Amino acid sequence: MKMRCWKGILYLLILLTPGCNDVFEFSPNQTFDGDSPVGINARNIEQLHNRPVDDTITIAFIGDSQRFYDEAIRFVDKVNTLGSVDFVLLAGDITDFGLLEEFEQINGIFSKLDAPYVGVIGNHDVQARGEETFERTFGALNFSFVYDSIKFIVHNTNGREYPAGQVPDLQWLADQFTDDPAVKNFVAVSHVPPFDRDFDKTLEPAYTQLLHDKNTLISLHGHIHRFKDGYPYNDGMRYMTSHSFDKRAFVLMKISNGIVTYSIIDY
Amino acid sequence: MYCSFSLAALGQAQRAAPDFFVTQYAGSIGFVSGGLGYNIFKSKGMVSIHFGTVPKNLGGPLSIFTAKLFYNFWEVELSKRMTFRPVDVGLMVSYHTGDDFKSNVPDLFTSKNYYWWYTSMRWHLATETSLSVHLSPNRFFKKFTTYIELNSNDLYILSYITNASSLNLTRLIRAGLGARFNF
Repeated sequence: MKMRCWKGILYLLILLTPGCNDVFEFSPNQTFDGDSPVGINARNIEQLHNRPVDDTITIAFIGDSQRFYDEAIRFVDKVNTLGSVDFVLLAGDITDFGLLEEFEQINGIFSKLDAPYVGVIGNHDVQARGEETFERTFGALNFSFVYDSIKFIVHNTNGREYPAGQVPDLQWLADQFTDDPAVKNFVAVSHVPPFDRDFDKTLEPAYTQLLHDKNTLISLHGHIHRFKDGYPYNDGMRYMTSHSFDKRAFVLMKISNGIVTYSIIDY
Repeated sequence: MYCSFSLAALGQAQRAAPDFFVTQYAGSIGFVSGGLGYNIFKSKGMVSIHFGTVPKNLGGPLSIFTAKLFYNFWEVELSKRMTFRPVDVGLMVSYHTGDDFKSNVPDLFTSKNYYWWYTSMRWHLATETSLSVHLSPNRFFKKFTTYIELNSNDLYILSYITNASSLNLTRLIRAGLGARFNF
């Protein structure tokens, strides 16, 4: 009897050890648990900086993984066959419900990419405690990094989720366009494009003016779940949106000497 | 007359008083939670209300109210004073309080809600496996039960159903451990 008691206590202790924390969920809305990832973007960007640089940046650009896990696995397998991809841009709506479990699942799938990936916050990611969870697992909502003379300015444009006038942070955005001899071009990356109804319309004129005035090479987005490429404001400023995962296609973009070319790859 | 009135009131109060108190670790309704409940359907069923919290240093802060309904189909008598319930089935609804959690009050400017689900409310399917010790009827607590409860919520289940070939079924399932004290 005594032996059985001790065995039972031992099993209980094993169950309660940190490695099993995932199973003992405190809430689906908790912002982290015993083994959730931290600082994914910073780690992946560091990985990117360790990769060899040539005269062309090759980016696999796609948006809106949400609840499309089957398609996410296929996407990763396809990108890995291409070989030449420098990094993958996941342009927001990483999750469908803003839950920790979803961030972990998508990161688990994307960790199988040979190339590093960068995640952008989308409106679905802001739901419930999603914003805090994104901040902990991926990193800052607004951040920039330079790779091969291009400064990628990644920022939050999910205006629907905040009071008017706050998002995007125009002051922060203006500060990113620094005079840096190492930077030849700027590429803006965010989830909601300014021409979409879910963008904060009070900020649309100032935002699009800023991107135009700073000679931004191109602005990349997700959110609308389909590919679009053009000059919606007729001001020479190019905007491109990519597919959602259920469309089973993505944009393979090449940037070389300040020229953006692309092809659509199905998977 | 006053005496009989108070006795009647006491009788009423006794009948209204909860049948058990329960405390739980994890199980998606808080880091720790406490609740009160009633036995129903001739003690085959249990209905209870819980309040749980998740502190900031463990992924909160979160405050969660939960209602549970469980039903027992199969009970095994291990001895005169010990019973085992291999798998009771249950339904739970949890409600997270706070500004981050909405019940989708319709947007004033559009008649439709933008998001189709409630961030505040989760529905859970659950099972409970428990071991009970029946104590002397003279004691304050007549029965002590320890249990392990497994659950999954509506959003996890939906994600799994729509991605069955790629998601692991075991990732759906979350666990909690609890103790119930019957008065």
